[in-house]
Amino acid sequence: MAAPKKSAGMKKTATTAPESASKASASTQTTATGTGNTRKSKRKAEELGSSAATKSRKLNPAKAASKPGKGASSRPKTTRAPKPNLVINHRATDAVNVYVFGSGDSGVLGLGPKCSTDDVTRPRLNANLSTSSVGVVQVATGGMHCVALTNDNKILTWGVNDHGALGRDTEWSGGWVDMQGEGTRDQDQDSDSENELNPKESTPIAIDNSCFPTDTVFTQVAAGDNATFALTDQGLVYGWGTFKTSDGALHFSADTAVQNRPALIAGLRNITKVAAGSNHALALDQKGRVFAWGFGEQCQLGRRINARFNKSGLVPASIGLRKDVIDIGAGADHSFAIHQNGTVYGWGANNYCQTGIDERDGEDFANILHPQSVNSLNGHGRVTSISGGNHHSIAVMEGGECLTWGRLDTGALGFSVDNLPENDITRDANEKPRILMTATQVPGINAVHAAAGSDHCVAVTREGKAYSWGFGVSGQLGLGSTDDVGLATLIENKAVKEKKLVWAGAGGQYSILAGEE
Amino acid sequence: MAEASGVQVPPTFKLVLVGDGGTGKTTFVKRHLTGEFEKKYIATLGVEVHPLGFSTNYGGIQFDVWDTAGQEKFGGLRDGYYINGQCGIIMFDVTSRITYKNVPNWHRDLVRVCEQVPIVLCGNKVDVKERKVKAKTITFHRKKNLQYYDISAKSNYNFEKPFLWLARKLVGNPGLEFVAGLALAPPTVQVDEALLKQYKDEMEDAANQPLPDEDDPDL
Repeated sequence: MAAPKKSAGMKKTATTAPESASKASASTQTTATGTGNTRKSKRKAEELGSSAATKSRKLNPAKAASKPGKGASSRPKTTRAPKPNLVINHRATDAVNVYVFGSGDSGVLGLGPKCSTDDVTRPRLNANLSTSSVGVVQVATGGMHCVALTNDNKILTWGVNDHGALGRDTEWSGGWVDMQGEGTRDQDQDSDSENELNPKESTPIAIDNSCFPTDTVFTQVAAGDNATFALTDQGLVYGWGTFKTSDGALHFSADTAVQNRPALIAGLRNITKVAAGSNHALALDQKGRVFAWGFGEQCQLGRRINARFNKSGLVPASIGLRKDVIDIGAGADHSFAIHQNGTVYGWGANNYCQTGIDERDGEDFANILHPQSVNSLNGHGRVTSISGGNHHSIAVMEGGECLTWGRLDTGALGFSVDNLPENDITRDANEKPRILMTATQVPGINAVHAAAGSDHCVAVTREGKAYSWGFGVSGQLGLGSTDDVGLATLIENKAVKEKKLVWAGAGGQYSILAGEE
Repeated sequence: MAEASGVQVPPTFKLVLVGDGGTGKTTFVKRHLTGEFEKKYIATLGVEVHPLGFSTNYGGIQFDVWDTAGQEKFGGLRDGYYINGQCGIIMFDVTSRITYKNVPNWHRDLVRVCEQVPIVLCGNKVDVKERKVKAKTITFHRKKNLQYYDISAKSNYNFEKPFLWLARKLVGNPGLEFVAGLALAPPTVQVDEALLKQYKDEMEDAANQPLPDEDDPDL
């Protein structure tokens, strides 16, 4: 089922994208994607990509991409001869069912405008993302918005769009608007007084493919607090939205405060994965180098960013780490990299020891400026995935162990704090346990995947069941209440019963599960 | 100390001010001119304490407002900031909903140390035309029995409202009123009175809506 949809979508992309779109960025201009390229041609492609990327930065790809049709054929100089491009990334092919729960007041659940703004406290199948009509293959959860990739190469976004995170226009008069032609299904607009949400935000809608060069194929998406990123099969990264500084200023790039439409991120090539923290992003390239950009006041970029010159962080730069990193992960203000040799590195905000690096500066944990090995993960086997919330982190090991560390008074670590070794914890002024410095196993979970929300976690087991724990005030635990739950607890209701769940995501005040059809 | 100088120290309450960076907490607290003049910096906590005095029909009252001086950028404040707090204000920015994301987390952190204290939720920057947080979607305060006010620090709109509500709660007298005009910094923006009236009506309208019932369609 996925295959025919995919080809249909591709065809549509090819025919609808205006010719000018390829002008948007010379570096992404594509011809047929060859699979039999030699090493030489690959290097050539890299060289071309490099010079083109420099050029496109000068041209301001942001503006060019947002105004397709302008100056479509006026600058032949920037159009390079067709060059070979390598497909280095592949999109997942299995369409999944998407279940949502948590805060309903921002449209981040994607249930459409008719959903009341009440919290959803148990998993609810999102009918706007059905496997038969939409075909979602990957979802990313941002602070208050989501992005999904479909098997026909669409990028759907929904949730809060105050600073461009949805990459499309969501202007709404606030009253009833004619949604015909927008591709949504609600045409019986009977007056339902509960309808309060902006339909263009609360409904998953695709970003116009004309924002991208023809034949662009997307393979992965990532979302931060106000920014969203999409990776192409050839290793280029598009981004939109903005990064927000600690004093509220907005910057997407040196000269753009808010990027309302997708723009190519200059300086990134041969990328194989993108990850996003609250206000920073990480990219991993084919050689295993890690790049970081965004805001870095808590050292989450792995380099020193002076607050007065914080725009210097907006350009992706390589982290001072050995090559051959095989995976990356982000917390709100901290970052992780997994090296091929099994070592996990952490850096960034560490006020609750969320990097897992026990480096105290007096009575405080300082930020970790340069990547350091997370030693307490040693001895558990290989880490297969790692990420973090506001003040805690979670890792899944190849053997299925699920480990957490960081702030523990929020219940976000998933186990009782009573029997933890005294050496592993820091207590607060009232002698209550506050911080766990050592990665510690969440009992009873044989995990294949785990996610960290702001102060909660969701893990999916080998058997396809989901467990959650932590802060639950908006229903983000999916356990049927708005209580906090300190111990990992099975999520069970009619929507997910008997379903094999494969993935979980967690945002600010909500969570998402994905399951096989 | 107070007696020695012959000045009666009014009843004083520690007010803890929290919220994401950039929501205007410092701008807000600096509007009160004597408080700004007499503020003290506690270096060990990275906190500025502004003593804000108000005259009421029952005599003076003072709020020692603890402002974080940017400490919140580290995503969490030390217990010393909250300890002995007697009331609180949680602030977000109505022009940027992402600042509303962590309101429940700020509330949790506040009541973790300061149990049972009166708390006001303030949506700042209502002077800005591009308001993003609509009255109807601000429901958190109702779940947790907080008071909510729209404010605009730059225009002084509703500046005294959070303090009046807290004063009445702390003194336990709903008849308490502020009597003398406050010395506030002059407004740097003007507000659209008609628009604010509309916000107020929407807010009252929303307050009259029943809270969600306990039906669980997803069980």
